[in-house]
Amino acid sequence: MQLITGTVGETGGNNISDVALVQAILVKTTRPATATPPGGPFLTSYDGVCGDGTKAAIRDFQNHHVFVSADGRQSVPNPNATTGLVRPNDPTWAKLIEKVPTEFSNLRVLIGGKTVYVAATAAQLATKIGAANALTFTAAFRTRVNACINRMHTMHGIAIGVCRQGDRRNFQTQYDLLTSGRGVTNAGPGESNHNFGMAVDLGFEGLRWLQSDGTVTENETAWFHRLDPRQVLTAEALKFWEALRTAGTSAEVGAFRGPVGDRPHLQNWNDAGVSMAGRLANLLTRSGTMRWTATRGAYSSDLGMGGELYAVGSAAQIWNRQATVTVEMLTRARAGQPAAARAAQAPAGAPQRQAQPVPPQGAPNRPQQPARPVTAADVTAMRQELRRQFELADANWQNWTPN
Amino acid sequence: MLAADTINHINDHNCGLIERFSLGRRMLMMRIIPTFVVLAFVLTLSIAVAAQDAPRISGFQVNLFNSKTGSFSQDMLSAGAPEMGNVPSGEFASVSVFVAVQIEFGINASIPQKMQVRLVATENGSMPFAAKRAKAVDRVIMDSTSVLGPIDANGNTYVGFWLPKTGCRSISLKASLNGVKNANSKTVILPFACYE
Repeated sequence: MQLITGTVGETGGNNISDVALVQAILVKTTRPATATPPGGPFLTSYDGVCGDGTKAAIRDFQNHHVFVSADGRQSVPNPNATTGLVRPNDPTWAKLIEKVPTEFSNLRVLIGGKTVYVAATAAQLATKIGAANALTFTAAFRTRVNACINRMHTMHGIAIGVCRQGDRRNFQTQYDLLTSGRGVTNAGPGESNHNFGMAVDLGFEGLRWLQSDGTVTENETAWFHRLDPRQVLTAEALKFWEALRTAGTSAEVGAFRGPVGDRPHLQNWNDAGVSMAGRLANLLTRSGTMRWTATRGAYSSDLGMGGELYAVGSAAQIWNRQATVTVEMLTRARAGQPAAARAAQAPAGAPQRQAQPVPPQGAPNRPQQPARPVTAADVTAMRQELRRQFELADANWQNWTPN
Repeated sequence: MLAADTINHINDHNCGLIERFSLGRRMLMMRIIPTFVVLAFVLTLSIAVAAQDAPRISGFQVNLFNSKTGSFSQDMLSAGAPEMGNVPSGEFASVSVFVAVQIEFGINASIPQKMQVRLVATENGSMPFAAKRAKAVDRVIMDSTSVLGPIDANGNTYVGFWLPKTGCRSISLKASLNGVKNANSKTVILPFACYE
């Protein structure tokens, strides 16, 4: 059981978390059958506020379990306990721990919060770790994911888990999320840390928390649809999300947060101020047969012709085979193509499958030779080829580098 | 003695009065109790019959429609169903949902002629983890009424509804019965969530 940090009850400090914890214990603890009235809980609900009912319940509990003889038949003074007050580790606290049913012997509450929950068992933690280990991450980041799951359990007794699709996503999945996810992401295919096994989405599925009347919530979702049904990030839900972020970004775990509002998300590096598009362009160049650059999500490619770079659109456009390639662009690219490469290239617009060496700067080009006109079919072929370059990068995801 | 006799007489008189009153009350009670018993029996029977006959919304079944395969998922409300996170992408590839509302009549029950099922689907305005944060305004995405189809031997029938544009925001489904007095309604939450 988590220890209260201060006093609860008459003249107590009555920190909200401490009060909630003591109240929850009283809610789950049954009065003796010999009491008047017999049976029933010492308290019927909890809310983190120490009102008259809570104080009376503490006194009632003490009268039955603290200020009594060993056989429970006579009232006796207990010099180490104070009427109506619970202190950390005092006789009243010890009796509260003793009398609460075993099932609730490890209740927890986050500091500053008032939602009391049942700590996860070691077996539940092992299940979450096992599930995470079956997912796709880079080896280095997997270590951090596991460290985060373990730390949340160590610090808070919560067994967090990886959300569905919270591990590596391929480019198609990222594209689907971008186009059908209704604004959930701005990252196109190849532009998310998730595409490279360096990000994780974690959640609280299965957290067993106590409703105000003490009923245990058994079917919590990863994103607190029970605790926060309107999904507006209530203060109580936010406490859990903050705890997750704090644990994940701690020195012991070493992960980083992503966008401020993306609370389930942790990643392997700090990408603040870094162009994800730029890093994708780098991977594209190293994975395929074209040279790439990118600025603010707009990609440029040499189209595999070794000459100047041409704006070909966003990652989503390229993935969707809608790169902004035109007949004029291909004509110009071909005209500017180094002669050796041009001679080897056929048909027009379709780059070679093998990587071509980029000519050194200033190298003289041979005079242009007549070539057949670029057609719409060439444009389509180039769009397909640009998409293929992305697929090569997708397959080469483990060689992506953050800088 | 006299005084004692008088007292005894009075007592006897009173006892007689009390006995007569008790006798009258007993007779009255003997008439009333059976009436109450019969009434209670009739009432209980009628409640039981009404309970048996009263149609009620007994449940939902929700299947994600996979845009890439044309197939349906398992019932997402069943025990052990996977979480509904990022369902527009990945294995579910789903942006629409089939909802079946189950109505229970009971065996040998008569079916009200004009009965219809109404389903109201309200989409939660909030998408807390989205990159593009929008103002949280709930939105009714469907308010549809449907007639009933055939009923099985156990007195159950199902009415299907199609929900388009789903996948990232929680949806509250409320089913109710029109054309039936004192019919229940039932609400369930589809816990969709999306995150980057």
